[in-house]
Amino acid sequence: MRLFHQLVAYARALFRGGRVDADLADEMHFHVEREIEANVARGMSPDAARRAARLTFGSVDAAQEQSREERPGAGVREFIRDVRYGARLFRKSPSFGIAAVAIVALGIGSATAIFSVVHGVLLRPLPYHEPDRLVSIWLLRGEDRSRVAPSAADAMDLRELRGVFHDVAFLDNINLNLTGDGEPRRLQGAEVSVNLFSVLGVAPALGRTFAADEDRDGRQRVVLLSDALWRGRFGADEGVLGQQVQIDGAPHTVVGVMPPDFRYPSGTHEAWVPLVVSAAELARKETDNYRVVARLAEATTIEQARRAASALDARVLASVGVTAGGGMAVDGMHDDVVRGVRPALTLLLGAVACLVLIACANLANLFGARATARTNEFAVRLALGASRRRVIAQAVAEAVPVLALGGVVGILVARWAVQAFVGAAPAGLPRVEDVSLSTPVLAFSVALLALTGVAASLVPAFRVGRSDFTTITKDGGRSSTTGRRGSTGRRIGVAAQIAFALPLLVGAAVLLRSAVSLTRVDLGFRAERVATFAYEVSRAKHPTDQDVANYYGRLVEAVRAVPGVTDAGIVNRIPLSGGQTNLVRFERTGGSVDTVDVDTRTVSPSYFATLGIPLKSGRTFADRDAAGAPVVVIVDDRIAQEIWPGESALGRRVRGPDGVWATVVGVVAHVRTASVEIDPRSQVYWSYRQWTQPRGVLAVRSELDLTALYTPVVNAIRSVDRDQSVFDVRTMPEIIDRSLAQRRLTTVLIAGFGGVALLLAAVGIYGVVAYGVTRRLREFGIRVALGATTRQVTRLVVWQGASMAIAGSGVGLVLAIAAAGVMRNLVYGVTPRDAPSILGATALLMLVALLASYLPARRAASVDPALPLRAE
Amino acid sequence: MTRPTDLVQGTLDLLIMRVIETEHLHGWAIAQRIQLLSKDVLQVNQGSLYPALQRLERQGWITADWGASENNRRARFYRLTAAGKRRLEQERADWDRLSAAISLVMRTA
Repeated sequence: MRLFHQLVAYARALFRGGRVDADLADEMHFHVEREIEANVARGMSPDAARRAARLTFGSVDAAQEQSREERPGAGVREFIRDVRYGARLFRKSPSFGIAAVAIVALGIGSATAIFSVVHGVLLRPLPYHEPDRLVSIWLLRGEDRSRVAPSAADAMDLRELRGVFHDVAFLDNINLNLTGDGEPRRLQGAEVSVNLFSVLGVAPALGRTFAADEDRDGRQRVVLLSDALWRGRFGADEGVLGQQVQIDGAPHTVVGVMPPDFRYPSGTHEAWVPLVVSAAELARKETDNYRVVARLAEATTIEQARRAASALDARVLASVGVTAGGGMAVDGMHDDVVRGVRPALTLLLGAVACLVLIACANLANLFGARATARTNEFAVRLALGASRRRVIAQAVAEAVPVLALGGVVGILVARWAVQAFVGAAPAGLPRVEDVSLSTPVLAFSVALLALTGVAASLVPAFRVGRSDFTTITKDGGRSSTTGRRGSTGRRIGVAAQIAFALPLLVGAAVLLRSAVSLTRVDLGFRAERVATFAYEVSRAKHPTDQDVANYYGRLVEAVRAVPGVTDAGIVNRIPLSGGQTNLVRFERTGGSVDTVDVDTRTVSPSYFATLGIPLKSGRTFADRDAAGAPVVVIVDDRIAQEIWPGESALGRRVRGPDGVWATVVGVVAHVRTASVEIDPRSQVYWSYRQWTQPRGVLAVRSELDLTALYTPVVNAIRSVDRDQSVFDVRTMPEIIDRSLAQRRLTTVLIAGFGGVALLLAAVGIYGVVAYGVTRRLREFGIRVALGATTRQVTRLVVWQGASMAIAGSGVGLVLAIAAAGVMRNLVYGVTPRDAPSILGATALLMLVALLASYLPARRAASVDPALPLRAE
Repeated sequence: MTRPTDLVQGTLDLLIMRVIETEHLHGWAIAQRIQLLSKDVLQVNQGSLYPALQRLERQGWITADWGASENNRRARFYRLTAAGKRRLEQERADWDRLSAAISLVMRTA
C-alpha cells in the first residue's frame, strides 16, 4: 500500500510536473490568505495583516524551490536539465563533440564487430548434439607431421574401436550435376556415410535421413536436400519427398530436407548422397581421402582416443612394412573447424583490444581536458552552496549527450562493420554464417567507453573539493602549478596511447612485409595465362575407366581446337585448390623401399605444357601410356633428389596406391600445390589413361583475354556432351588470389587499425602539447623577451611531446615484442619479431609524435614578447 | 536562515503526522495546530512545512486530497496512509523512549 502511494506520488511528479507546481502554488496562496484572515480576525488592519502574513511566510519562491527538491523524481528532472545543458555545450563547441563522438563510435564499432566475429566463429558451440563429444580425426604424415585425411578403410577400422568411439562417420565433397528442367546445375554436395546424421545428432526438417543399407552398391539412389536448394529449386514444396530427380544422369529419390541451420561440411552445401565405398578401397588397394568425424564413447577423453587411434595406425602401417612415423590426430571438432582461422582472429582480437584502449585513453584526455577547463566554475558553484552531489551529477549529465550520440553512431558502425566483414570474408572462413552482431559484446563496449567518458569528467569535480576554493579562483588560470596533477594524468594518457599503438604498427609492418614476400614466391609454374574449368563426369554415362579416359581425350581435343587456345590439359586437382595425397613407395638404389606421402596427380600429356611446368629430364606422357601398356609415372625433381640423390631418376620403380609398380619416365619441376606459403609434399604424376578419376579440372593456356575464353571453352565442352556440368570457372591468378584472401583481409584490417591508432596517438599528442602551450603562452613570451631563441623555445615544446612518445614507445616495444608470438602462424618470409618492421614502426611513430608536437611548438616560438606585458 | 538539522527535520515530520492522525488538515491548519498544541513554543516555518509535506508524501506516509476549507475555499487536506499510521506508532514509541531517557539523564546526572 505504501508502495502504491509512493508510485502515485512519483508518477504525479514526473508526468504532471506542471500540475504539481500549480497545486503547490495554490496551496501556498491559500496558506497566505488564511493567515491574513486570521490576522484580521485578531484585529489587524487588512494592510498590516497582509504584511505580517508575508513576513511570517517568507519567500514563496524559496519555499516552492525547497519543496520541489523534496518532491519525488527531483533528481531525474535535474539530470534531464543538465543533459540539455550538455547538449547546448556540444552545439557550442562542435569540434570537441565531433572528435568525442568519432572516438566513441570508432571504439564501439571496431570492438563490437571483431568481438562479434570471434564470438560467432571461435566461441559459439557447434549446433550439434553435445558438440564437445564430437572429434575430427586425421592421419599425421611426413616429417612435419601434417594432418592428412584418412582413407575409408581407416575410418572403418576406427569404427571397430568400440569402447573409444560411439560411432565414426566419414564424408567427401562431391560435385553433383542436377539435370532435368533447363540448364544443368552443378550442386555442391557431399558423399556421406549413412550414419553421419546420427553421429552429429541432427534431424531433418522433412522426411528422413539415410537408412543403414543405403550405402550398398546397387541400392535405389537417394538424396537429401538443403533448405536453400529445396526453397530455390523446388519452391519449398513438401511434395518433393519421394519424387525422383536426375543427378549425374541417374534418378535419385528425395528422402528428406535438412533444416536451414544445418551447415555441414559447409554453409554452401546443397545436397547429400550416401557414400558407397568400393571393395578396392576397403582392401586399401585404392585410397581416397575422407573427412572423418566421430562421437566419443561415454567417459572417453580425447587423449585416450588419440592414443587408441595412433596405436591403430601403427598396426596398419606395420602391415605394409612401415615402422616409423605415422600416428593420428584426434581434435575436438570445434577446434578442428576453426584451426585455420584461430591465429588470425586471435591477432585481430588483440589488435582491437589495443585500439579500444587507445580510444579510451584518448577519450579520457578529451573529457578530462574539457572538465579541467571548468574547474573554476565548479569551485564557484561549490562555494555558492551547491552540494557536492549536485556538481558531480552535473559533470556526468553534461557528458551524456556526447556519449549517447557516440553510442548510437557506434552501434550503427558496428552493424555495418559486421555485415561488411561477413561480406568480405574470404571463401572458406568457417562458420561465417554464425556471425551476427553480438548484443552482450555491444553492451560491454558501450558501457566501457561510457564509463571512461563519465569517469574522466568526474575527476575535476572531485578534485575541486580537495583543493581550496581560494587557491583555484586566485590562480585564475594564470600559473600552471595547480594544473600539474591534471597534466600529468593527460601525459600518461598520451604515453598509453603510444604504447598501445606501437604493437599495432609493428604487427601491420610485419604483415605487410610478409605479404610482399608472398608475392615473390616461385610457385613452380607459370600461372598468368591459365584459366581453369572444373568438371565431374557421370558414371552412368561413362561406366568404365576406359570410357571416361576416351571422353577426356575428346574433351581436350575439342577445347584445343577453340581459336585462341594455346594448349589445354586435364588434372585431377589443380594447384592451390585442395589435394589428393597417397602413400607411395619408391625403390632406392640397392632395392630398399621408402614410403612417402606425396601429392598424386593424374594428368593428360599436355598438362605440363599448359601450366608451364618445365620438364627436367626424360619425357612427358604420351597417348600410348594407356590401359594395358606398361604403367609409367613422372616424378618431381624434389622427390627425385630426395630418393635418388645425384643419380638419374629415369627407369626407377615407384608403386602407387593400386599396388602396381610403375617406371619413372620423366622428371618435372616441383610445384606448390597446398598453398602459396607452405609446401609440404612432392608430386608424382600418372597418365589419366592408366589411373582414371571421374572428376578434375581442365586447364587452358591462352595469350588472349582469359575471361573472353570462358564461353567458347564451355561451348566446346558442351559440344562433346551437352549435359556436361562445368563449374568453378576461374583464372589461375584468381585461384592464387583466393588462397591468399584470408591473409590479405587480416593484413588490411591490422594495417587499418594501425593507421587509426597512429592518427589517434597523433591527435592525442597534439592536443596535450597544444593545451600546454596555451597555458604557458605568457611564460614563453617572457622567455622570448629574456632572449630565448626560436629554436630554444621550439625545442622546449617539442621535447614535451617527444618525452611522452619515448616513454610510450618504450612500453610499446615491450608489448609488441611480447605479443609478437601471436603472429607466428601468420607470417611468411619474415619472423614475427622482424627487426626492420619493429624499427620502422617505432621510427614512424616517433616521426608522427615529433610532427604533432612541432605544430604547437611553432606557435609557442612565435609568441609576441609583449604579450605578458599587455596581459598584466 | 539555516537549514533545519536532522533532528529538527525528523521532529517536524513526527509532529505533522501526529496532528493529522485524528483529523484531516490543510497546510495552514497543520502549522496552527502545532503552534496551538505547543502553547506557541513551536512556530512552524512555512519554508520547512511544505518541503516536509512533499517529503512525507514522497515516502508514502501521508497522502492529500483537495477539499473545501472551513472558510469554504479550495484547500489540500492531508491524511495518514495505513503505512503512515504504523510509522507514526513506531516513531512515537522511539520518541517516548528517547525523551524519557534524556529527561532521566537530565534529572539524575
